[in-house]
Amino acid sequence: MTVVQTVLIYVGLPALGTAVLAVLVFAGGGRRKPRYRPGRGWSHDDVWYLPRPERASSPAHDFPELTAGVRSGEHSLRTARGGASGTW
Amino acid sequence: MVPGEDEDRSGVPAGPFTAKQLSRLDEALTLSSRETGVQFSLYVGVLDASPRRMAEDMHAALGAAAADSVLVAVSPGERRLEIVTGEHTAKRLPDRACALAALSMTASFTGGDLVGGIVNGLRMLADQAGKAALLRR
Repeated sequence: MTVVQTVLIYVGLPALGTAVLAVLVFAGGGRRKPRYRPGRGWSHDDVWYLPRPERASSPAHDFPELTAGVRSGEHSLRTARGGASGTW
Repeated sequence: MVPGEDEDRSGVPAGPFTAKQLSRLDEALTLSSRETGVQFSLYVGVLDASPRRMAEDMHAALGAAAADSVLVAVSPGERRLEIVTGEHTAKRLPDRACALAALSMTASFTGGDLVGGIVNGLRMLADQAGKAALLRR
């Protein structure tokens, strides 16, 4: 076995294998989904969802419109009667 | 087939969730609300320094629907969860049941499963609240 063959087998093949693996790993990174990781912070907009009204086709429904991001003090009327809190 | 699923995808707002996750959340919210007659609403975002107060204010902002509403407020940034019940819903969902749902949700959140935790929590709350028709009698 010549020196060139030895180098190709013992250096070239592992390098090729590593390159193929690297391509396979990083090629999937294109379609990145927003993913929540605890402790990493949260930089998305605030969202507030309500259940879909039963007559989804009719544009006029009797669900109230929400004004998102209501801060404290704007509503003096207290409607809360109970519930629970949690942290993680 | 969820109605509205065939809608134009470009209309999906650039919120924190993918279209698939949104449809899971929508289904969970809509089904649990329809089953129980309780209006569940879900807030995901910042809860400021006094999270309980802010969640209660948001519940009050629901106006006339507040008595029959349950607000689930999740703040992934502050790692804080608040469940707020109204005048009528507090009778169907005692604090103990809410605490149990909150515990299950936070367990999922710890593992990074935000949508799964919310969906399961809503399901637990809906199961506890029971059917609307049974209670009207």
